[in-house]
Amino acid sequence: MSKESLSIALVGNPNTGKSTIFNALTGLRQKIANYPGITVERKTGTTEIGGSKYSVIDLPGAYSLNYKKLDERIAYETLIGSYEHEKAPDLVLVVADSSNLDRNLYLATQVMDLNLPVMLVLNMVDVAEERGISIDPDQISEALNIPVISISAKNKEDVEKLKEAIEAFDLSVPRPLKWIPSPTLLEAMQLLIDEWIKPCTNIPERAHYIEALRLISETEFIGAFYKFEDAAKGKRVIAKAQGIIEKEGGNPMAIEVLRRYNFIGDCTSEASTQTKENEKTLTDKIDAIVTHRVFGPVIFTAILLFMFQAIFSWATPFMDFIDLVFVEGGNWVSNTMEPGILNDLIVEGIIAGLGGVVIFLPQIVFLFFFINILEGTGYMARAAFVMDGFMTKVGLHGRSVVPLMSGFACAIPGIMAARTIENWRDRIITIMVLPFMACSARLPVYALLIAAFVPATTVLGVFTLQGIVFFGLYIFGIVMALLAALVMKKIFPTGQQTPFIMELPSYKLPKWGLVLQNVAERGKIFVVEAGKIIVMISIALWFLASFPKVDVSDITADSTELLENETIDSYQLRHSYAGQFGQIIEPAIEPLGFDWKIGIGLITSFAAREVMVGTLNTIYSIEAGDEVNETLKEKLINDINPKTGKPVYSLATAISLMIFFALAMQCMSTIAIVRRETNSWKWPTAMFAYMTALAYICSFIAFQIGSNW
Amino acid sequence: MELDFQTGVAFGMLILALGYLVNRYVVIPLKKSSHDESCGPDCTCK
Repeated sequence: MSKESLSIALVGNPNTGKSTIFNALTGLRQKIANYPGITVERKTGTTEIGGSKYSVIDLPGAYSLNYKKLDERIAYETLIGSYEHEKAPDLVLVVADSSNLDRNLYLATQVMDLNLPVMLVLNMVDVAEERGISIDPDQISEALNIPVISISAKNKEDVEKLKEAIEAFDLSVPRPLKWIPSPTLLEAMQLLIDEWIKPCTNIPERAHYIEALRLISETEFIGAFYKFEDAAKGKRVIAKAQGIIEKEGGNPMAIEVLRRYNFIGDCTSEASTQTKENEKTLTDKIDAIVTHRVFGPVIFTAILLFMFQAIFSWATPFMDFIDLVFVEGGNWVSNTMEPGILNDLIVEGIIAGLGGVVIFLPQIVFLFFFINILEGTGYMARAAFVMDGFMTKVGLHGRSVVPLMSGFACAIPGIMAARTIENWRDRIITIMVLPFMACSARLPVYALLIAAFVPATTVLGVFTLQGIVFFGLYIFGIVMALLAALVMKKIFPTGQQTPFIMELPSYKLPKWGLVLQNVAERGKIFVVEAGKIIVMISIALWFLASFPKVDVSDITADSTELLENETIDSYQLRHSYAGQFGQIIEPAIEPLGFDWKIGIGLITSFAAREVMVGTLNTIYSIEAGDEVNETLKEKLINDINPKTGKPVYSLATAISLMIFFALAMQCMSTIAIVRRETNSWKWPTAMFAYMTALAYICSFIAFQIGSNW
Repeated sequence: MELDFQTGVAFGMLILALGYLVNRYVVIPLKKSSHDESCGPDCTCK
């Protein structure tokens, strides 16, 4: 059989290493981490094995094919081939965690029920061996009637072994599953297939068997993704099928699970043996402390505090170096190029705008370094466990924890991770509060204002006040997300909570190569993606802040047209398009302690939050004219309001601005992704309105209290 | 204002920047936000 353009789907329980295998096969860099629920959408790549090309699909993790949640539904629909222009996969690799075989085989047997060519990949054999579990793949293969291969996906030799097994797989040989439901269950299933699924629905034939089982145990077909007619008849047939089972003393809700686990038990009883009985592993011992009711939150807080303290302290020398490079680079260009409009645009616009933001690259790198270590070791799952207590107290579902934690890096993957939440209202509340979590784009703004206006005094001999304020802003984001969820829960009650079960993975040493690769990737995104936007906005902003050119030949330093403390460059800036526009909006933001320059920064930061810093640097560089030796921090500290003669920035202004950034919805990409995930403009509009209003009110209160203290 | 070399290049850069920003913040978000029901829920239709 020709293997040209064949497709391989990777399916399995969450956190079994599917994405690691996907990356090893395709050479791509799909995000992987040591906690469940990382992949929530399918990713495709290609690989070449034995001279043939294959497309490889990495599917979101699923415990069963009952598709209650969107991520499970994506896996199910791909497997049954219900997407337009895409057939069912030619080969399914079911990736199983060897240390938890029975539970993983539940999904494997369901996939086999779809009558697809299946190979079972027993991954993490090294972890299983550490726990004293030994598995005979040949016996499992014989019992299930499919090829079984045991590997550790992090070993290159094992990946080669997997490729050889794929090459040797004969797709033309049918391999029906030996699992046979009880005669009663079989009769009930057949009734459902004959009387309703076949005549009244468009479910592909390969899924009839599994759909009949699902309907018997769950009854629900309303809201299913497939088309069906005569719902009343469907209900009647399901009740009739359930009646057959009940008549024989069976429980329709549990019969599939019981029968399937009986079959799995028969398959693994001989093939899998455990030598270390009930022995506490290192993971168990660490978890006894890390997930402790009292120590857990203390350790979580201490880790965050250390992380933000380190970000602030360790990054400083690197930031100073980058600052020096941009200042000297600006001077060099300014002195080398002929004076003129292009010279000014490059020095005051592009170099100032870009330099103002790139300076924060070391802090971004340290932030993602710590996040990757927490993810790689498996601590992130424990952090989610610790946070779950707070989440459920405010009525959020436990499944909201992982999406919210993802929001520390960026809101977009967090919003997508909310697909794992079954209940629509729980999911929408999670999406609506998620942008409060302090994403990395806020970091440059926080860092700039803290460095400029919070004294670097030492607290308790170890911490600095700057680090504590930085940490406090992240906690503020979490608290506001929880409060907003509490209010929304009152407005949109979501009914009874279903229990949250999250698998805690074993602790592992982080893979340093992977950590560095991920950090480099994030650093690149920050410089290239944010940098592109910043350069483009800086160019446009430079024109708006430099034109129209005012005839300043008659204006001298003591002219009456100049405000007190105003230089000619400041006068020019005040009369530019940006200056005029800024002064129009200034009355609206004055109660928050902001002047028109901050106002322009707020508007450009709606493109992306970090643009605020680039904007301020461009505006201040234009105002400074040829004096380009001051850093942005110094420019902010020394800026005097020409109308009042007082400094533009006080501590109250800085706090007000940080609160505004913590709460306002200033990210076009997030708005676009919320539109896509909710399939409506209603939710992103509501999100934008309530977050921006809340930011305004809180900043107003903070400034008014702070300035009258 | 005279149209010398520096002015020409600077305004050329302005046009490029405006084109990029309109595409990035108007055209692409509008395209991305539209959800085609015939595709998969994660917009992975081919």
